[in-house]
Amino acid sequence: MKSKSKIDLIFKICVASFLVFYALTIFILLGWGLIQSFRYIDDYTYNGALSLPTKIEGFEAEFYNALKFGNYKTIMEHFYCESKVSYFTMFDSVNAVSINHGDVGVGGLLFNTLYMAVICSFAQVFITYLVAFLCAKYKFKFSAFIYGLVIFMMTVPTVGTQPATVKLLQDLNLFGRYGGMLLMRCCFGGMYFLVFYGFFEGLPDSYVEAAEIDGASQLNILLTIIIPLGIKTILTITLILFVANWNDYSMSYIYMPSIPTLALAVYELAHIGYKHSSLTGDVYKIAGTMMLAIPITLIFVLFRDKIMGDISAGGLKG
Amino acid sequence: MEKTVKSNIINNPRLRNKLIFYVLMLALPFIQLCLFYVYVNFSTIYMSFFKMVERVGVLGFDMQFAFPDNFVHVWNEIIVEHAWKIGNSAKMYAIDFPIALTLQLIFSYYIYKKYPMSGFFKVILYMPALISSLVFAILFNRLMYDGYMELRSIIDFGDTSHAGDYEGFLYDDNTVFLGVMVFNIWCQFGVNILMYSGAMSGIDESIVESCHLDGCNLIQEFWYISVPLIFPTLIALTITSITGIFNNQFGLLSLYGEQLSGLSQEAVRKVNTMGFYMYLQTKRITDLREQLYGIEHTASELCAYGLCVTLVVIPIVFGVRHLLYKYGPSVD
Repeated sequence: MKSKSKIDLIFKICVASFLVFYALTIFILLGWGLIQSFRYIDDYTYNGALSLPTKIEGFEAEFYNALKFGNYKTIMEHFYCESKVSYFTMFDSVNAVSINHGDVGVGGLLFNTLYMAVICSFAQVFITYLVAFLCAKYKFKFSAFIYGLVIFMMTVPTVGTQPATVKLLQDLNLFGRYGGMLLMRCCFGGMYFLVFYGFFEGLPDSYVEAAEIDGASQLNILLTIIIPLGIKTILTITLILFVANWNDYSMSYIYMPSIPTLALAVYELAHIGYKHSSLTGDVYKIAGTMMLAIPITLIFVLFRDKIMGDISAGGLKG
Repeated sequence: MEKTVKSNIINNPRLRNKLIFYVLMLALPFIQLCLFYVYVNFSTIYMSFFKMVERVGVLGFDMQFAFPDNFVHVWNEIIVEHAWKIGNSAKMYAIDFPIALTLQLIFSYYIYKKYPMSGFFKVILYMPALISSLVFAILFNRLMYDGYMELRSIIDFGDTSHAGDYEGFLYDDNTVFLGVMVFNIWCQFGVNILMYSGAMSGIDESIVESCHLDGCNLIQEFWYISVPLIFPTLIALTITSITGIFNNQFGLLSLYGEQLSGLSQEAVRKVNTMGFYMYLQTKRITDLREQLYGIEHTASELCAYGLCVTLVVIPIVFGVRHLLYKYGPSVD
């Protein structure tokens, strides 16, 4: 019995130590990034990356103070991302076009990011909720077919469909358009479909039947009973997808280069330096990066329990 | 029977309205599904067997049946030519997956048992899923480049003036592979931890209590009770992970950008993966300017590659699933 509690204690201490170490690495990295984002370029170059903000004699920093809050202002003024559509010639060179819509500034980048993070996320969650409701509560054969198809899509992987997706968007004249982005996101399936489906399976039919007896139309039932019942879950999952879409730069990178987002602009700032001649220097790269991280961290602080609680509840229980 | 249902729908206005509503509400999602799943997959198969041939005298291309040209190209120009990238993908996955999975399960168990500071650790472990991997990659890159050089210089020489002698943890030929692996494992706890700990919290308390009455310690409880009881979740996440072996970029785009800037030829050979390479090829066929400089593979050839990988991955996925169910741990 004594050796058992000794093993338990060692196990707990080992895991806790590892976790403390992990937490430290996260704090060090983010803390380091935040501090560096307030430094002068001269200070960073002269004193190195491991130093704290310091005044340097003879350099610009001397005249003010050690911290330069203007880095963020400079980024706001000069941050941009090129908006372009380059249709590929290989499918149909008659339609081969390369349109440059010009540079999108911070305001435009924020608009595109919010469009993707708010509207596209909400549309995706709402469609998933709606289809799960229809499949669970309308016992047509087609409902069973859709459910089977979702399971099939989750079980059988398909790889390398990006070229065909790009071609489809181009054929529909939706490549590089807001409508195309929205249509791509109006999909259902995956884990959240199963979560909603399970929710509706457990919901007694009497809710809907009572409303039908009272003469409510199907649309009324949807708007006044079904949506209010799940509005909290809808908003919570929208919040989770908001985080994912805010961070996503591959959507703009591959499918929607004419709708650049903040994440894509940060990627270009960090890795395609020549596009940002007025923002050269690691300090700006780091400050740009923090600009992407800070809003999402604030949202997390406000809605922490919602975001994390829902994922746990939606886990595939054993 | 079918006739009765049909006549019911026609004669019963409530059922008819229900059906109309059902069709109208399902129309958009179903069209989306048909376009972006069914059509796209069929289009991928179709394009695999055809190639685009320039029209004579007029602008434009025609699709011409070209089996097995695309597949020959895939074999010679992608698989044989870039076999080392496939090897890197497999090697990275073989290292990354078991380590990450083990850590995820142990950390999830700690959180599930509500040991000291488990709530705090849960939040911390979720951070990489919350904040963009791009943010972590850029900060990690800069700190490991500038900071590592200074630190090594201080350790070796006692001052920072020799910092230029080092290439940085993520750029040195000897440490680049380790650096990429550390970053990947470090970054992928997030959602999986919540999934596993959520699944563990569904375990019946009486089972755990009886295990303790039998004299089990924590490690035995973890191995003989917790892991077997969350095995379906583990299988589901493992399958998802296997699907991405040849798609996984292992964070290279976020860490180094598409040019793998700053890496030497030797370093590139150590870390470049098939997922990263094919991702960039797909990007290039959508960019007209890239085509002016010439592209390595056409869209048809990329589709043929995708089809080949799918045909390889499907049996692997089902095989692994079968093996896991057959030989995986049992609660009995």
